[in-house]
Amino acid sequence: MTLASGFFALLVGLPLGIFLFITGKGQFYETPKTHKALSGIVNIGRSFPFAILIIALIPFTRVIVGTSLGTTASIVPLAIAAAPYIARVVEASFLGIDRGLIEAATVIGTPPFEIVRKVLLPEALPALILQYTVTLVNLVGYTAMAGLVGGGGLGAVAVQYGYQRFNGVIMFWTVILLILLVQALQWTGNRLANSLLTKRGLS
Amino acid sequence: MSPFIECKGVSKRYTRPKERDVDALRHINFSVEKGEIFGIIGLSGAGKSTLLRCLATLEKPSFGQILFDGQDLALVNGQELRKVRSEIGMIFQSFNLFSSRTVEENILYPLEIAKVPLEERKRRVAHLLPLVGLNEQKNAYPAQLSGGQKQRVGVARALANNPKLLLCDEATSALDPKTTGEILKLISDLQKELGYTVILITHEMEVIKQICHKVAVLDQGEVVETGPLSEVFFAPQHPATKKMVQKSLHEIPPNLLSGKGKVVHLHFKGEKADRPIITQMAKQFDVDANILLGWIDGMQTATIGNLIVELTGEKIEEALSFLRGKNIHVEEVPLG
Repeated sequence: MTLASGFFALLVGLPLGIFLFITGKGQFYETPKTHKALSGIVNIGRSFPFAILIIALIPFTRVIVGTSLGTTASIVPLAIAAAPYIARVVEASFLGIDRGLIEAATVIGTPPFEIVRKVLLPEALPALILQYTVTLVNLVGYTAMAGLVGGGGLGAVAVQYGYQRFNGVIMFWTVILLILLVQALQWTGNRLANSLLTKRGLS
Repeated sequence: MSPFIECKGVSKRYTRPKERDVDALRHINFSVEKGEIFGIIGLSGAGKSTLLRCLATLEKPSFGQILFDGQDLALVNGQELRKVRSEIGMIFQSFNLFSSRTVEENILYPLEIAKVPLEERKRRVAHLLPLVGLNEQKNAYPAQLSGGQKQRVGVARALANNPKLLLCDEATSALDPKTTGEILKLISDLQKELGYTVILITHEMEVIKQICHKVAVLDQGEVVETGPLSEVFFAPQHPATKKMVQKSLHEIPPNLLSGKGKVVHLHFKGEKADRPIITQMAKQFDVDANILLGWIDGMQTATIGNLIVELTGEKIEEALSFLRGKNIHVEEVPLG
């Protein structure tokens, strides 16, 4: 569930983040109005308490998935919650790239879309991986919350069996599993990012 | 024949909200012939970077024209602009190499953008790597290279598409003197072989002296002096130029000065033997000439001898006129 919603969040968040960046101050598609609008949307998305978001999105979820309960259904609100976060993170990673590189690419004659594809994404890749890992870890936490309101997954198990039926053992083990999941995600992310950095001679 | 690059009345104004407008460039006029190495020198803030950015099509001038082989750069857009940009190569003070690409891949980058066929790309890179002396490092990443090596990659990348114009933005300012010399020599040698035109900006006189044919001096957004090195160095006119060309007085140990006479900076063209003239002057006008400093600027297009002399005596002005009559440029060096 985490991975699926992570995937969709990336699908929405990445382009959003790219647009956020290129419409920003000093960038090649600088359009203050669009940037402000996108920024506003992202900010609203991020400040929505997740529990409320799930409930508010129930009708929308029903339209897309057919139901508002269960693992598949919770992917919708999870992806929508994570997308703005990813957008911000993508924007920040791109802002961390030396402007000189973008200028060099421009003087070489790179068209704007190619700059995103050939310069921004590869240069920011280690940072993007690390940030995305953080997002996924956060998502694990959110999936547990989704479990509270009818979503499936480990969170639901922890809540239904562990909390509601006071089965301490199950609660204990689901928590352990969640911790392991987070560790695995973090470890993978770090490994990927570090191997890239080492290869590039940057660490 | 019209010049290769021409700047006509180029001005650049930055408007800031709530602040005064900044005129970074004012009425810049100069031209560069094909195959020339043209230097632009000025202190920080003089407008050099702005000018170069306009030449590189990163910015458009507010007024005036920049003609690139007859084309007005301000009017070029889209596909045309891409084509023009493929004819311009640029190297930077902080190198601006792609850290995610190896040396070889960095050099390949412009070729990919220009959609050069694969075989041709490989050929060009294979040709360029030994030219810049980086054959051994072709699979290394920029972070693993020294500053000099990084700039060599920069040069190779800039030359990948066989540009007509090479722009150098303080390209050696971040390098030590020895490496600076190597990079400048590389640019100059390759220029003889590949025939491109060079426009470089710097705040270091030594860079101009080493490879430039002509120079323009920028001061507060204006070109205050321009011409071949042999003239600008020999007889600097504008105060800003003089400041840069002359060694300043506080480089001379104070205990060498008697404090009674005039200190002058003499420029000799070519390899004239200066001794006889000085002694002649000393005898003829009964003037004591205390030589404080002497050096020779051997540059691309001229050799200029420099002497800083303290003259004491009654007939100093006549002595100076005498020297001027011998085609020696005389400049008084203010004390203190």
